[in-house]
Order: sequence, then structure tokens, then C-alpha cells
Amino acid sequence: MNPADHKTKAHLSRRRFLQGAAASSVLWPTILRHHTAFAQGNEKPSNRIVMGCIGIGRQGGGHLGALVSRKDVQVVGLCDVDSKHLAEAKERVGKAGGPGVFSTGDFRELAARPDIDAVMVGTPDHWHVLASLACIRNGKDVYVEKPLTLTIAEGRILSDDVARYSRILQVGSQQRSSFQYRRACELVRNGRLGKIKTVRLGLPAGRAMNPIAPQPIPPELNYDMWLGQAPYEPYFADRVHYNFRWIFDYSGGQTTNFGAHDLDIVQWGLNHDDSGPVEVQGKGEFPVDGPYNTPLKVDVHAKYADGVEVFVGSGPSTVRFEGENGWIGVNRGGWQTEPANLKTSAIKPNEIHLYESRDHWDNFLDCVRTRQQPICTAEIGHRTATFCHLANIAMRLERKVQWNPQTEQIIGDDEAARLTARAMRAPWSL
Amino acid sequence: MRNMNKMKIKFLWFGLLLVPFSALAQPAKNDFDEDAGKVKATAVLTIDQAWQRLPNYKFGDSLVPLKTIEKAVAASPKTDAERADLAAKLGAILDNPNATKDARKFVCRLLAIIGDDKQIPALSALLLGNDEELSFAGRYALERMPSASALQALRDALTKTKGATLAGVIDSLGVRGDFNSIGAIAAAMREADDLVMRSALNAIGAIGGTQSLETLAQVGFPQNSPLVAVAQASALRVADGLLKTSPTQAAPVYKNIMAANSKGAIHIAAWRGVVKTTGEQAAPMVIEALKSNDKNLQTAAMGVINDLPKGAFISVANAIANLPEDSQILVFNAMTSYDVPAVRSAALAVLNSKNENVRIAALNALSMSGDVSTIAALTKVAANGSAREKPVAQNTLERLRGDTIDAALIQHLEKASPNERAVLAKALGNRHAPNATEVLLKAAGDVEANVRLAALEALSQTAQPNDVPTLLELQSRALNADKRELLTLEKTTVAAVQNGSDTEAALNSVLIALKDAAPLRKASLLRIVGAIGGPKANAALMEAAKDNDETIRDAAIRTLAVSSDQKVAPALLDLAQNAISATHKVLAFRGYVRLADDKNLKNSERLKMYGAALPVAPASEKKLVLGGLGNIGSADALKLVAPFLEDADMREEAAAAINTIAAKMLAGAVAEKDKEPLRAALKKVLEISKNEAQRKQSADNLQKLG
Repeated sequence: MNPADHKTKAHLSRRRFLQGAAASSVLWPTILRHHTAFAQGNEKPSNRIVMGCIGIGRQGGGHLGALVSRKDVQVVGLCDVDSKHLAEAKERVGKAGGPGVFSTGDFRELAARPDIDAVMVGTPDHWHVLASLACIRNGKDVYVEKPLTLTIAEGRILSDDVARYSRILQVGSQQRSSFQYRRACELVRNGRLGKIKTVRLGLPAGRAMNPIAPQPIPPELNYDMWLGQAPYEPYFADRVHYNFRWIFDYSGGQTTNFGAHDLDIVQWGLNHDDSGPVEVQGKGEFPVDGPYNTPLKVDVHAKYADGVEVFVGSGPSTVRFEGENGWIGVNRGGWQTEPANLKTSAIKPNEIHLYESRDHWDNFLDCVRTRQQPICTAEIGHRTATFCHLANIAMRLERKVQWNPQTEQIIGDDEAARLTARAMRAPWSL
Repeated sequence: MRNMNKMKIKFLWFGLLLVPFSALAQPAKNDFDEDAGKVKATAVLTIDQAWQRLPNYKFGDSLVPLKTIEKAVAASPKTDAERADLAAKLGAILDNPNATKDARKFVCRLLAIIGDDKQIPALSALLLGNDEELSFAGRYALERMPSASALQALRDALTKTKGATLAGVIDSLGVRGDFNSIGAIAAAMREADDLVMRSALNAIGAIGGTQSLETLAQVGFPQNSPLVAVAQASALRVADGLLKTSPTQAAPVYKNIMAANSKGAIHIAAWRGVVKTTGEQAAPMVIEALKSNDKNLQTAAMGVINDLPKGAFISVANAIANLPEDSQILVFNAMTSYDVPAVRSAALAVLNSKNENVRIAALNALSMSGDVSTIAALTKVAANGSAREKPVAQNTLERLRGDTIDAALIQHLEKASPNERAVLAKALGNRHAPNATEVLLKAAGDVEANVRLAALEALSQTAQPNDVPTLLELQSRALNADKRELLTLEKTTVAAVQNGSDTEAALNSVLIALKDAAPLRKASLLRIVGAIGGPKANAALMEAAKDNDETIRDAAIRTLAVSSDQKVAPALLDLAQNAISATHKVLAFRGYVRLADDKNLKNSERLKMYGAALPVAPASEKKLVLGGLGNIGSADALKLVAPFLEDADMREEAAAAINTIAAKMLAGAVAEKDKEPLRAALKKVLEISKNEAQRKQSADNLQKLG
């Protein structure tokens, strides 16, 4: 018997599964795509994954473009509350040689279609969970943009439902599928920096605008549907589409926008994919006027139970792990280490190997076929988003927020606790 | 504004911290737009002024009063009394008949954070009122207020509202997890519309507990009603909540839902629940599902495999051989992360399967469960398998875990067939096996070329500086071998030096070998020396660049030309002028210009290097210099480039460089003394360039220059 058998976790729950992977007794295999039966080009039409897309504006439209060019995917359904987006998307699918597609302004219709296997959710943030839930509860797998959630409460429910209905959900934190981020986290996890003391992050600046009078709702936009769960507020063009992210009703500013990318890497590197910090304090620079209300600049200081401190400031997006033996800095442009030769430090077979994905979409689609967990699950996305939301709550309240990552409750601060969830406008509910 | 100065300092500090990385920071375009809008300076209000203005607020007005109050409410430390005072002031706006609707909505947002019981009557009034927006605003606050009175206000609204408002109230009670509302919610469903019924079913599921289950069990819908699935989904949610504390209560829920001909996602979730409550006895169910043709059931089975108790998991693993091939593939993929003997046995058993995809899935599964006993089989496939199998088996060999694996691989290598020796050598290298160097050095002298090559490549991962003499011996014998083998040996020797910390001794052994080496070997050693680098290596190369033997000279100059060490720049400039062959002059010149283009140098240093290059540049290479000068973008660079506008052969390259320089200069403030030369150069471009794009760019630059 292999000595490792005794420590094998052969009955891991989803949460314990993550812990197991982290505890080094579980090795993530490298299942390179070209090693599987699913590399693009081998698919018979009948084996293609049939997909629908909800939210096909800026970010979602980018995903749609990638999907229609794939041979292993067939897009048959489109949904957007902006009929212009919808018309453009239909044309794109048509030009790509796809058959006629079903299109709708109501995602519930798309989610209910029995011919769809998986759905891409590229909506504004306040729709991520509601649209995903509708798909999951109708037996679809989901690729959903980051940040996964609008509130902490949303994430727990979505993650539980993904498990309940045995679905695959990939959060679009695609930095996990980039070589340098994985390598950086792998080196940190294997102790190349010694004990980690601090992690420093930079987040880009937010945005402000002057007060603005209500504007006519454009005929192509179903504004009430766009608002969804959020309180009714008058329309102006810079409320919707890309700029929704500067208003707390729909998002959390750069804290959840870029924070969902970079804090995700912090959680990964520090082995907290199923957990989170125990205290977060912050001070933000908020717009002094106008309808935008998310921070322009951030200054957040968080602490994990093991004493590792995370400092989030305003600056270029970068994650820097600092340990007793050096540091590793990583961003989308590349990575640096001190000492420099850390970069070539080999991760040996008996060490911790992190889940390897070389392409976020490939990983999701492979998992749809193999029913394996993707690299950024609902639980991981929820925990990362929770960190982002705690940072925003701490900045809004300008004080230290204590968090219990096991019970997922704020400790001893009624005002902060009230900000972990929001009432939803009917008919929307979790 | 307290602490703002401190905060500014912190922001500045962060900016400084990240400066060295700013060049790497390239946020995705669709995630971040640097054009962060600025808000016009607005008057700062006192808190009293803000309270005074709040009742009149209408959307479109300045939000300074609101933000001032929001800051006082949320972002300030408060005593209970101060909090109560703020809440009371907010409540007073709700009581103010002249307050605008927008002001009231804003107040409700803040009461959601700090409201207390005193504001509940006003919030209830809003909730029960006819204005849809204000009604929601009232609920928005009440749902988040934790007091019993707030909860009671929501309960009271159950009988006083209808339609969407009632659905919202029910949802809020569900979110609050109010057991005491279950009966009232169920009552509200009677004769309610579809929206309210859905909301009620969902809320009962959210509240959970046995009373919710009993209530859901009593709800009767026609069998074809879509509400049946909603009720089942809620029951599943409740049952899942009971799994840990009361699995015996949860089990019948799942079974009843399955028995009720549930479909699709509901059926999968119920089946999962049955498996979870069956414990160790669940294996037959899972195996049956994996054998079935029902894709949904297979999906459900795949969803639970990782959650099965250990005994059940092993039973499923033991049954893999009897599953349909498609299911075998899925199960192996699911079991790839587990080190379980049953998985190992099952995977080994199907390595001869006729289905290639099954074999590949099994090979992958062995990456975790494989042990010493699997090495022979994996090596065989990696050496002789199909094109798709080979890399998977190789990868698995490289990832096998355990303290005895490396030693076993070494043992196998010594008695394996040639193809297998190559596979094992590669595996040992990629495993960075510290004890493998000796056997790899031996394999590097193998009679078979593919084994030698694999061993040499593997040695680049394992060899240390003290192995360099042995590698040099191999090098002396490989001079007439395949060129790829020689180059690999050179790279491996360099890697061996770099794998350790004592590079000096290793470099010295190469330099000693260099002294008496014949030209062919010397050329190879020079390439090694060059890649190791350092002052001694540079000196050897510079000396060899003047050797009488052309082979030696050629190797030295080519090596110098690709060096990234600024210290060889003078030698390259000298060679660019004085090398015997024209080819070497060009190579040396290009190497020099590449060094001049080093972005780590100061602009003044680069300018100086380009300035030295221009007079000696071969005609064909001047364009390279002009391009480099363009990238510097300064008035001094302009001075060097401008004369080339007069050179008919260089005119267009000079024009392009001048426009690049101009654009860079215009990105900042152009010094007065530099304006005229820049204007003159741009005008000249406009006048003489035949390239329309350059002329247009020049005109644009002139306009910007003013």
C-alpha cells in the first residue's frame, strides 16, 4: 500500500476538497487539453456544447465573439436588455455561420430552454447571481463574469445551489489561467519565500462624475429589467453599461472590479480559497458629488488568521507577496522575483502543484464535458468577492470590520452586518 | 477630512512602491479605463447645512448634502446616543410632508444601515403606501434592520399588501429566516397570483426547518403546474439544510421528490440527496447511474463521486472496469486527484483498452494514484504508445509522487530499451531528481543518439558546477556528432554552471580547456563561455575575436554580438570598424546597436552610444540607428537625426524618426529653445517626404507645437 493512502481524502466534500488540495496531500494533475479528447477540431457537431449568452454588451460581447469562433461550441441563444446589443450579437452569430438563434430580453426564457447545455453570463454585476441561479436551477452549467456577487449573501446561496444541482460554474477570474499567476502562487505555497508576511496590491483609480439630470430612456433599453433587483433610480446614459460599476447599487467600483482579479490571486497564493481574512479595515477616497459613489482611491489593510497582512492601495494592478526570504510581484504584464532565480525554481513532484489551466474558457468547456470542477469555482469566486465586499464595507464605515470566515458573519458590528445583503426589488429574489 | 493628509501620504507611498512595476501593469482594456472622471470642486457643507438641504433634494441636484450626511451616518464613530440621534434626524425627513420623494428614498438607504425602532412606523407607512418606489424603499430599510419590531412590521404587511409588494415582503421574511411567518406566508399563498406563490415557496425554502418541510408537503398543485418544481426546489433547499443536523428528516424528502417523477435539475438534486443520505451504501446507486444511458443521471453521479464516503468511493473505483467506456473516462477524470489503490488497479487494468480515450484517462488518473509498481507500464506507453498517449504517460511519470520514485526510475533506466531510456532520462530531468545526475551523465554517452540527447537535456535540470569537467569531456567527444547534440551539450554545460552558486570554479575549468583546444572545440567552448558571461568570459571572447583562425574568430564575434553585457559594447564598436570580414562588421554593429537600445540605460547614455555608432555605421545599418534615436525622443536625438533628411537614401527613415521624436517631445512640455529646431525639422519632413502618412503626422505635430 502506498504510504500516502492513509492520508488520502477519498470522501471530500466540496469545501474539504479545497482544503485537501491546499494541504498538499492532493495533487492537481496536469490535464493538458491536447491530451484529452476535447481539443478543438475533434468535435462532431453532435458533441458540441450548446450555449446561450446572457449579457452581450462590452464584456459579454467579447466572450460571444470568442465562443462563435470555436468549433466545440454552438451558440443558440442570446439575451440582452438592450435590443441593439441583441441585434448586433445575432448578426455576429449569423456571420460566423451559426444557425438561427433564439433571442430574448428576458434571461429566464433562455435559462428555461432544454436545448441549452451551458450559459455565459456577461451582465452587469448586479445580475451575475440572479442570472446564474436561474441557469443552475434549470440544469445549465455557467461561465459568469467576475466579480461573482453583488453582496456577500448572494454568494453563499449561489455556491450552495451549484453543489445542490451538480452543476459546473466557472467565475471569469481569468488570471488563474495565466502562467505567471499560477507560478507565483505555487512558489508561495511551496514556501520559496519562507513565511509570508505581507501581500501588497494596487488597484486602478475609480471614477466620478458631476450631478446629472435624468435623461430619456433610449427605446432600445428595457431599463426596468436592467435595474432588476436594484432600487429604481432615474436613467442617465452613464449609469448603465460599462459605468454601472461606479455605483454601489450595481457593483463595488475597482474594489470589486480589479479586486476580484487580484484579491483572487491573494486568496489562491495564501491557500484561502475556501476562507478569507478575519479583519479588514479601510479608508477610501469617495466622489464628493455626483451619482457615482464607489471609491476613487482605496487604502485597505486586511489580516488573515495566520497573521498574514494584505495592503491594498491605489496604483497599477499588481500583486506582491512578501515573505521572510524575498518577494514575488506579478501582474498581467509579467512577474518578478527577489531573489531573481526564484523564477526558475522547480516545483518537484512531491511538492504542491496547483490546478493548471492554460485557458479559462478551455478549462470551463472541458469541465462541462468531464464534470470536473473548474479552476475558479462558485465557492472560490464567492470567497474572493466576499473579501472585496468586506473591503468596501470597511471603507464605507471607515473602521475595522471583524469577519468570521467559517460562519461567514461579521462580528460585533451591526452596521457592517447590515451591509452584507440588500433587499431586492420584486419580483427578484435569491 | 480627518486623516486625509495621512491617507494622501499612504497613497503616495503606494505609488512609489509600485513604480518599478508600473511598466508591467497593463490592465485589460475592458476592465479599466484610465480616464477617471473628475468632479468639479463643490462647496463643502457643514453637517447642519446638509440636513437643512436634504429635504429638498431632487435627482440631478448636487449630492453634496447627501454625501455629507452619508459620511456622518456611516463613516463616523458614534455612541449609541449619537447613532439614535442621527437615525431620528433621518426619521424626521420621512415625517416631513414637504420632503421630496428622492430625499425619502435616500433616507431609507441610510436607515437600512442605522435605523432603529423609532423609524419603523414611518418606514411601515412607506411600505404600505401606494408609491411603488417608496414602498420598496421602506422594505429596503426594514429588511436590514435586525430588531424584532422591524420583523413584526414586515409580518404585519403580509395581510395588508398584494401583488409585487406582497411578493417582496414575503421575500424579505424569507431572507430574515422568520420561522414565525411560515404559517402566514402559506396563508398568503391562497388565491394569490403566480408571483406571490413563487415568492412564498421560495421564502419557505429559505427559512428552512421541519415546519417549512411540513408546510411544503401540504401545498398541493396540479401535477403539471410549473409551481410543483418551485415547491420541490424549496423542499430540496430545506432538506439540504437538515442534512448535517437531521439527515433522517432530510432523506424522505429526497426520496419523495424522486418518487414524484421529478425532472431535470430537480431530479438530479434529489438523487444527489438520496446518495448523500445513504452513506457507505450509496455505491450501487452511483454505479447504476454511471451505467445508465441517462445523461442527467450520469451528471448527478459525477457530481457526487468526490463527496462519497471512502468505502463507497473505493467500491465505485473497483467497478470501473465494468462501466461503459464513456463512463470509465468520466470516472477516471473524477478520480485523478486521489491516491487510492483501487484507482491505481483500475487504471492499470484498462491500459490495454481498445479505446484510446479510456487509456488516456487512465494514464491521467495514475498521476496521483501511481506508485513504483506503475513505472514499467507508464514507461512502456511513453516510449511506444500512440501519439496522444505518449505525452500523457510521460507527464504522469514526471508527476508520480513518493520518496522512492526517483530511485526506481534510475533503476529502470539502467536496464530499459533505448526508447524507454530516453523517456526515463527525460522524466528524471523534469523531476529535477537530485540523485539522477550520475546515471544521466552515463546515459549522455549512450550508443543511441536519442538517449544521449534526452540525457543531455535532462542534465540541464540536474547537473551542478562540479559536473562541468565531465560535461566538457563529453563535449570533446561530441564535436563531430549531430549539431543539435553539440548545441544541447553547450546549453547543458551553461545550465550546470548556473544551477549552483560556485560558478567561478566551473568557469575556470572551461577557460582552462579553452587554452589548448583545437579550433572546432574552441568555438564550442567560446559559446559556453559567452553564455556564462562575466569579466573573464568577456576577456576571453575579446581575445578570441582577434584570433588568426577564422572559425575561432567567427564564434567569438557571433557570441559577443548577442551579449547583453554593456561591458562588451566598446569591443563591438571596435569590431564594427576593424573586423576583417564585412559580415563580422555588420554583426558587431548590430550587437552594439542592440546594446544601445537597452531601455535600462539612461537616455543620455543611449544617445552617446548612438552618436558613436552613426559615423561608423555601414550604409545598410544606418536605418537601425535612426529608429533607435526616434525611440529616445529628445532634442539631442533630433540633432543627430535631422541631417539625414538631406540624404536621399535615408530621408524617409529620418522623417519617421523625427515624427516619433516629435510625438514624444510633445507629450510633455517642449522647452522654448527646442521649439524652433523641432519646427524646422517637421517642416522639412512636410516638404520633402514622399510618404503621405509621414507628412500628415508631421502636419499634426506642427499643429500641436503651435
